Amino acid sequence: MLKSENQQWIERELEQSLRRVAAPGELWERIQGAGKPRSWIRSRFVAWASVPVLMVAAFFGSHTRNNSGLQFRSSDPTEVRAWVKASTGLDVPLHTGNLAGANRISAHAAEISYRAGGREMSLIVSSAPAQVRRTGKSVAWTADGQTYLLACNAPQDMRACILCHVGG
Amino acid sequence: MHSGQPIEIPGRIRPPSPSKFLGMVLDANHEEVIAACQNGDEDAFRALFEAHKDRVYSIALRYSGDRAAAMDIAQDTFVKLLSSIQNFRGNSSFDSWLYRIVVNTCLDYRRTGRRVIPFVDGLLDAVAAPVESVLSRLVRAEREQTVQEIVARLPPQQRIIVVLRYTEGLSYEEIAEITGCSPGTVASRLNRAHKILERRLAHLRAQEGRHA
Repeated sequence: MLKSENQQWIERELEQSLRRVAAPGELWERIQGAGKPRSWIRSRFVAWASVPVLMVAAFFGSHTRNNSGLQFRSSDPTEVRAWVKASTGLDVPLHTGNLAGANRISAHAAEISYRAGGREMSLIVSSAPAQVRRTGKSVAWTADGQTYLLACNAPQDMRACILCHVGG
Repeated sequence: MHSGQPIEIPGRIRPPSPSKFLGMVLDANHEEVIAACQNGDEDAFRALFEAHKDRVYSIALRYSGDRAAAMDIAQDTFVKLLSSIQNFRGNSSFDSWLYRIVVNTCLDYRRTGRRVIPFVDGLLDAVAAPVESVLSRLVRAEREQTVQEIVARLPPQQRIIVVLRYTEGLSYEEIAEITGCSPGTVASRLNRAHKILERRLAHLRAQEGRHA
């Protein structure tokens, strides 16, 4: 069947305008950062709020996300605190040092990320209630009606974190 | 056979390292690479990614009409591929399987309201071109942008068929296999899309006629 001139023209335009393009170089980095996507953290945090002990173990067993996927990057505690408050309504007192940024996990939960000595640490804060628990590499507590879960890969990091955060 | 380190599925992927898989030209079904992926070889996954990234990104971009959305869709596609490659049994070709993942990811994608002016980069590239060709490039870029915007407003089921046809050059039969409908339905949707596009792009055709 012969194609009309109109059809030939539209096909030519579509072939030209919709041609294949090269993927941006940062796509691979995005995929690396997305190995544990936001929903991964979110689902585990929800589970943790309801089953605290299991959650701490589960979170930790797989706590290897790098902080390249942060929604907000800053080392300034004032900026991070303001961003977390604007994003989730949580007011988290933060101290200077090793801050990398933050992620909004849900409307009522945030992850504050730290990086020190090549290691990553996360402070998960939520308005959901939870029991206080402590393991070798993580600790959970409540303060001012907010629940905190601090996770580090090394016990020495944990001690340093607790000095600032658990002490308030 | 599998020299790379095991990867966590669907966990984070470690940075690439030199491997026999990197830089290799993959055959039509690249069975060895897929088998290595199924055994958790990160380098094999990187090789699959390199072989298919342009295809996946282009489909996502042409479907969504938005670079940020295309990155989201392409990212989701590869994460889904990684987490489900264990289930790939070779009953269909790997290409068909990957096409189905990217098509479903496109159709599932919900716009988040952060749509920006699409393809403004194309216009910027045109301006950056040598002076003598700037005008013609700008005209071409603007024309392509118009076509892309109008394609991006087609109903999703028509749009994905247009993209598979013109970005990927697939036959009606191939599109039918990927989308799970009959070749007749593909032809009918494509025909409807052509009619809409002809109508909406009539002004471009008229301009072309005046300048000819």
